[in-house]
Amino acid sequence: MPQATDAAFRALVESITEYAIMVLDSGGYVRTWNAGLLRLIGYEADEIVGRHFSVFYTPEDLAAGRHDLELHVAREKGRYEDEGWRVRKDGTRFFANVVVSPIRDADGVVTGYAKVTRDETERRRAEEALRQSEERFRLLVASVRDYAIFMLDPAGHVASWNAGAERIKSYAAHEIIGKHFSQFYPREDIEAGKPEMELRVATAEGRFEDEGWRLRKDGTRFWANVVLTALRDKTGKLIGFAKVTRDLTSRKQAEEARIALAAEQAAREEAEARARERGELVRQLEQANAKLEEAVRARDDFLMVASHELRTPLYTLSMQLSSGLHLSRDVAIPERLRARLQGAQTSVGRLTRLISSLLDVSRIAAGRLLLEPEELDLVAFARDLVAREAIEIQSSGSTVTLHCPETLVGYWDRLRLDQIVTNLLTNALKYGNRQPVELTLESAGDRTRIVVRDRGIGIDAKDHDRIFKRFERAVSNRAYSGFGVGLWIVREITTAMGGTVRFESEAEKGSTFTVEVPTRAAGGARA
Amino acid sequence: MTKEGPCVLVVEDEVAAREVIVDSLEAEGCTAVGAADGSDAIRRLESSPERLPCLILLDLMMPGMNGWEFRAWQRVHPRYAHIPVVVLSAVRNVREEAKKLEPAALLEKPVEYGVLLDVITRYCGPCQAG
Repeated sequence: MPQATDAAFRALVESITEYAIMVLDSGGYVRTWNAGLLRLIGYEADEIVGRHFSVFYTPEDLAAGRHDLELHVAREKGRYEDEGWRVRKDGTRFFANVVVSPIRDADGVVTGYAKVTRDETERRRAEEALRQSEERFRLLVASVRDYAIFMLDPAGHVASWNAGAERIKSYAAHEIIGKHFSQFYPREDIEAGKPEMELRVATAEGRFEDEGWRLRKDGTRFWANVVLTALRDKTGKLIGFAKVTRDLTSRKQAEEARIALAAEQAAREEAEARARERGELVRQLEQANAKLEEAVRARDDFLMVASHELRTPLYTLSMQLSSGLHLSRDVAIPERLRARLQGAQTSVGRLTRLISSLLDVSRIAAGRLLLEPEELDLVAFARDLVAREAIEIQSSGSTVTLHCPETLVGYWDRLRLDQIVTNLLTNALKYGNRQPVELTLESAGDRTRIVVRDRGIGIDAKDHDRIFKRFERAVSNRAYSGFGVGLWIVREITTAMGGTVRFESEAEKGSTFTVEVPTRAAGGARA
Repeated sequence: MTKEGPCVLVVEDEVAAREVIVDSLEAEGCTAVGAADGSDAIRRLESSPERLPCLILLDLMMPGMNGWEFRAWQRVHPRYAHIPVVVLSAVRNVREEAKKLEPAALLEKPVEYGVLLDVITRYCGPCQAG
């Protein structure tokens, strides 16, 4: 190398400030200096030339003999490169990249070393910072427990797993990494192709968000909020997906509970409103009912008092007529006068019966129907009754035929039995349309049957339910007089006796009423 | 009042009813005496002890002394206890109670006049005696 060139080269090296470049002798003593040595490590030429290169080493490296390794490796291998902490003149440390090359003479004997040192502290710091940042981030993701954060490869296989994923989905990392993420979906979603759809949307739009049911390892469902983000490298190539899943089951449940609660509340309020309304209606009904009951009671009381009061003079009138007729039996009086007296007696008898029936109605309504059974022959009883009603029968235009055995002895309340038969008979005569009426008496086991049949106007089917009610008559025709209580009394008395009453009827064909009472009627023998 | 016929004491509070019975019996030839209630009846019995009625027609429901009270009095007075009593009542519900009075007969109002006469005849003999 020419001298001039050699000097120029030396000047060049000495002026370089980016690198500390020096020549060590074979023993490791510094022989040359450049500007970089001052700038990077702090030594002027006279401060360092002649000193051993070990001054650059930290005490720990020196203790470990690292500086010996430097020259040894360079000599043996032809090159030594290292990165590590070194010490400046002022004692501060810097991170250095060191390259050492041996210098040989013509015979190949190492006469020294060329050493180039770069200050990499900044790069090192940046790298470290990045590394630490990444580590922190990794730790952060790994330690997040409330979110399942994991990676999928482009095909959808699980590539990473965090604590949250393990907690929410209950798979350990080794159980799930490598498996396809469709494993987290209910069967119906898989069949609907939902996992693939999500990847498609995330790939196309960069992001996919969803809320829905997902499966845990044990197959139980949880309500998940899922965000799927496509990950791409600098060239835009898809490298996978980041998936963040939140378990919103409790929120969902709370929401559902809230909705259910609200619905329940609404239902309760509605029910309460309805109950209030109903309560008000019931109260009004009860009031109306109480008023009605009061009115009915007042009417029954009045009926009882009125019929009592009406009877007293009526009985006297009856007695007077009866006596008058008796007294005049052998006296010559005009036949017309006698007929009037007899007519008056018949009318009084009818009036008496009407008033008695009113009294019966009020007594039955007040629950004061007493039975006084006695032994009697129903046949003789019926014959007497038919004989007694002769005038009534005659005026109706019908006839009454009695079908019965010789005797029919039982134990009944005579007057109540009388009311039953009289009412049925009167009814048959009234509606009998002048056709024959049949009264049949027969024994039926431990019961006695009384059948009254007419061939009159009958009862329309629509009125069948009404005829046993108080003050009801199937016929409103004024031609048929009466209070409409006869059949009601019949049924009440029959029931009190432990019997039954039924009827068959057809309009224009007539009616058949059948009463069955125990032969030893309820009420029993009394002392 | 004829002296010959049987004497009937009619205890009945209703004036018109009492009168028609008394008058009718008189017309039939009986002697009949009316009383407005139990205590009136007692007074009439005690006023002529030598001529006691052969029958008492007794209404039950009367103001003042009623039929039951009269009957109770009658039964503890041996002098009158033997006189048969025919109870005459309009009140059906007291039938059982009336039976406890052990009447000779129990007639329900309104009474057929003929029936009343029959009962009287049964206990007193025919009205038109002699």
